[in-house]
Amino acid sequence: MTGARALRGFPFAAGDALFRQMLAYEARRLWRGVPPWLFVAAMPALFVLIGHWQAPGLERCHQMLPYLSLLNTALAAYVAWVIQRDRRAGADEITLAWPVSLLRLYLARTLALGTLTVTLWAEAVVLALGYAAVSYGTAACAAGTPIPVVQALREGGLILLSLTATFLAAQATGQLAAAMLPGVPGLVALVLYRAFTFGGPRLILGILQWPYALLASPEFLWDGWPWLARYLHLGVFADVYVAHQSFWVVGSVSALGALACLFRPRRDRATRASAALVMGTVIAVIAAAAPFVAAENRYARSHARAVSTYGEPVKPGLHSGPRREALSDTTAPAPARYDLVVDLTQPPEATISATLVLASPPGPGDDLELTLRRTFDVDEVRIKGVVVAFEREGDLVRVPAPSVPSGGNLAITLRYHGTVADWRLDPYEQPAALVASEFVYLPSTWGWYPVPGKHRLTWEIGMTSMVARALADRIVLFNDAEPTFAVNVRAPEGVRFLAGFVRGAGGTWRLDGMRNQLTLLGGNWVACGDGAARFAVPFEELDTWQAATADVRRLFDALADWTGVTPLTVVPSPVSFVNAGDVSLILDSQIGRLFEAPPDTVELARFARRWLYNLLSLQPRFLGPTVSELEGAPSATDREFDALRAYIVDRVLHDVYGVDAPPDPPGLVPPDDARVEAWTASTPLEEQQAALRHLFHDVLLRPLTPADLEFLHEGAAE
Amino acid sequence: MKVSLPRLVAAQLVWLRRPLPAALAVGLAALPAGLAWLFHKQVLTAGQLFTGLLYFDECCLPLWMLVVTSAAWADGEPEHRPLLLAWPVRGWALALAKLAAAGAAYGVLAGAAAMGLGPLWSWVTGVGADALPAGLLLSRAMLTGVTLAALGSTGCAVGGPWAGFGLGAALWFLNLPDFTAVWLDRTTRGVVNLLALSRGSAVPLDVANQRQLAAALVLVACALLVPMGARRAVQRGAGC
Repeated sequence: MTGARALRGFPFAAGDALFRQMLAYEARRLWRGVPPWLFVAAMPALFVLIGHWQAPGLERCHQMLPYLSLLNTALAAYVAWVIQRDRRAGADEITLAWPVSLLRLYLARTLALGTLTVTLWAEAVVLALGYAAVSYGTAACAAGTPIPVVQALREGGLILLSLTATFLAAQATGQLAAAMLPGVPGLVALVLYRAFTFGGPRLILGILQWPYALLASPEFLWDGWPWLARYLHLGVFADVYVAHQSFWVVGSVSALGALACLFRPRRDRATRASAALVMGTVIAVIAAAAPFVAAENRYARSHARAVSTYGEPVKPGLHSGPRREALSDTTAPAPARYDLVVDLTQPPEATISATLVLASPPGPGDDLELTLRRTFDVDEVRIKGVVVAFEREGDLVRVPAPSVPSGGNLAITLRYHGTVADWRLDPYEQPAALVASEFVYLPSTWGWYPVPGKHRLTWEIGMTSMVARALADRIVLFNDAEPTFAVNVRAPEGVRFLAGFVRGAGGTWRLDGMRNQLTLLGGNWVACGDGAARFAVPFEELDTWQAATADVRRLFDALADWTGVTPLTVVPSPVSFVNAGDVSLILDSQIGRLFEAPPDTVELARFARRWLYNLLSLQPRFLGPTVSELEGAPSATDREFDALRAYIVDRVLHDVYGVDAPPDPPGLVPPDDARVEAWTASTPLEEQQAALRHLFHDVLLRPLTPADLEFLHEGAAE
Repeated sequence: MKVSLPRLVAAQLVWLRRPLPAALAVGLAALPAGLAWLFHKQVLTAGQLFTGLLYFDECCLPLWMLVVTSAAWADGEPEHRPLLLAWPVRGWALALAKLAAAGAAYGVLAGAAAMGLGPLWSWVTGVGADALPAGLLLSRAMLTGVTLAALGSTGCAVGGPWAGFGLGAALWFLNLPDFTAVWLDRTTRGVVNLLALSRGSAVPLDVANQRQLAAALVLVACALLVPMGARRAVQRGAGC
C-alpha cells in the first residue's frame, strides 16, 4: 500500500471537502444555541466573583477549581446532550443516510464541541495566567528583587496543565457517558460520577488510593492536595500532581479519539487503521497512568514499610484511655541537657549527632534504655567519649550503663542517620515528618532525638467525630526534668527560613531553648516583620502580606504586651502541631488564609481566645488543662487562671478595637473569679501588665503553683 | 374513555420496571452496608459513620427519587412520545399519576431506610439508636425527595426526561458541595437545604423542614399545572 493510499484510508482525513462542510454545519448548529454563550459568559464571571484577590496565581486557580467543577459538570452534561442529538430528535436514521463516513460525522461533532471547550479553556488560561503574572510582578516589586523566573514558570505551567486537564476531561467524560449509556441513564451516570468525586475523597481517599485517585476527575484535587500544596508550593506533591493531571490530558484526548474510531454502528465497516488507533489510544492511556501509579506507590511503600517496621499499618488501630499511664516511663533517668547537631543537607537523609546529659544515671549494672525512632540506624554510641556496644530493638537503644558516682552526670553521644519521609493517611496524605529540598517538617514528637526511657511513639485517640493523631510521647514530663537544648541545624539548600531558629555563620541554624520548641519547620519562605511578630512569607505573597496582616499585627502587639510572650512567629503551614506546645509558633491556618485575606474581627477575637487558652493548656505538665478528666473538679488555681485569661482577652480586644470589640461568642460564659475581679478593679493597668507578664514568664518555665497567684491576694487586700 | 387515577398510577409502573431504578436501588442499599463495613475495619470513625448515614438518607436516597421520576416520564422520549400524547386524561392528572407512582416507590425505600439506619447504627457501634430517629430520617428523606421529584417532574413535563433530570440534578448537584450548600441555605433561609441534618442547617431543623415542605408543595403545584409542551398543543388541536 502506498503512502497516499494509506493516508486516504485514514479515518480522520480532515482534508476531505465534505468533512469541512460537516464541521462547519456542526459548529454553526452548536453556536446558534444559547447554552454555549452562557458558558462563555460564565467563565469570566466565575473568575471575577470567586477567590481571594490577594491570593497568588496558583492558589487562586485552585480556589476557582471547585466552582469550575460545577461549570464543567454542566459542560459535560451539555456535551452528552449534543452528542445524542440525533437519537433524541429521532433523526438518527436520516443521519445514517448521509453519504459520509460515520467516523467523520462523529469527529466533526467532537471538533465542533471542541471549539466550545477550547474557547472556555482559552478564557480561563488567559485570565489565570495573566493574574499569576501580575501577582509575581507585584511581589517582586514589593520585595525589591527580580522575579524568580523558574518558580513563576513552574507555577504557570501547573496552572496551564490543570486547566487543560479539567476542560478536556469535561468534554471527554460527557462523550463517554453518552456513548456508554444512552439517554437519561447516561446523564445519571455522569452526575453520579461527578458527585463521587465531590464526596468520595472525604470517605474513601486513603483506602483505595491510586485506582480511585487516578479516575477521580482532575478538579477533585482542590479538596486534598492543593490544601497542602498551597503551603508546600507543590514541592512535595509536584510529581503526583503533574502525573495525575497529565493522565487526564492524555486520557481525555485518547478517549475522544477512541470514541470517534468506535463510532461506526450499523453501516460502516471497521477499518484496519481505526482498529490500530483504538489500540494505540488504550496503550497511551495506560502509559499515561504509569507515572501516577509509580508516584502513588510512595504511599504504598510507606504503608508496607510501616507494617514491616512497626508491625502495624500506617494508620494504627484506635486506642483509648488515659494517655499518661500508657506513655510515660516513670523509671527512666532524667535528662538535663541536650546538644544536637542535625545535618539535613542531603534530603531526605538526616544525619544527627545527639549528646544528652543525664542528671540521674541508672545504677550500676542496670541497662540504660533510650527511645529513638527505629527508622534511624545508630552508627555509634559513646559514653564519656568512649565507644560502647549497644543493642537496637525496635524503637529502643539499649546501652550498658557504666558506673557513675552518685549524684554525677552522665554524657552519652549517639550518631545516627536515616531517611525522614513518614506519610500518614488520615484521610489525606499528610507528612508526619518530611525533609525535602524546599521543606522541612520534623515534629518534636516524632522521635528524632533520643529520649531516656521506653516510650510509645505512635498514639491515636478515638473520638466521636474525629481521630486526633498525636505522637504523644513528649507531652509528659521527663520524670520531673526539663532539659535545655542546644540545636544546630544544617538545612537543605532551598530552605530559607526555619521557624524559631537563628541563622548563624556558615548557614547553620541555631536554637537554644526548651523541648517544646524543637519542631523543625522550615521552607522556601522570606522572613518579614519585626516587633512582636515575625512572618514567614512565601515569595508570591510578599506584595500582600502587609495589607493582609495589619490587624493581626495589632493583635499580636497587644497579646505580647499583656503576656510577654514574644516574638511570635507566624508560619504558613496546614499541619497542626497537637503536641508542639510552642505557643510562640503560630500557624497561619489557625487564623485563616492569613497572607491572602485579612481575617475579620470576630475571627481574630476567636483566635485570641483560643491562643490564650492554649498558652498553657498545651503544656499539661504546668497546669492540668482538662482537670475534670484527671481529677474531677477544677482547683481554685485553675479557676483563677481561667479568669485571668478571660480578663486578658477582654483587655487585648479592647486595646485593639476599643468599643467595637466583638462580644463573646454565643453560649460562651466567660469564667470569672471574685479575687481576680477585686485585683483588676484595684490595680493600675501598668501594674497588672507587669504582674501578668511575670506570671506567664514563670509558668512557661516551670509548673504553676498556687503561690504564683498570690499577687491576687495582695492586690485585693490593698 | 375515562381512566381512574389509581389505574393511571398503576400504568406508570411500567416505566419503573426498567433496569436503571432497580440497579440504582441495589447500589444505594449497598452504601450503608459499605459504611458499616468500613467502620468495622476501623477505616471510619463513629462520627464519620454517623455523618455518612445521614448523608445517605438526605443526599443519596433522594437522587433515586429524581431518577425514578425521570423514568416515569420516559414516555416523553421521542420513541415513546405517541404514548404520552395518547393518554386520555388531563395533563395535571397525568403528572400527578407519575409523581404518585414515583413517590409510592420512593416511600417504600425511604421508609425502609428510616427504619433500618437506626438499628444498623446501633448494631455496628453498640450505641443506642436514639441518635437516628426514624421519624426525622423519614421526614428529611421524603421532603428532599419530593422537592427533587417535583422539580424534575416540572422539567420533564416541559422538555422531556432529559430536561427534567437535568433540572433536578442541577439543584441536587448545586447543593452537594459544602461551599454552595451553605450559601444556598443562608440565602434561602433554609428553603433550599437538601442536607439539613448532616450538614447542620443555618436555621433550626423544624423551621427548615416547614419551609422546605412549603417549597416542595409549591413545586408539586408547578409540576401539576405547568403546560405540557407538545402534548398540550396536540390535545388542544384534537379538542380534548
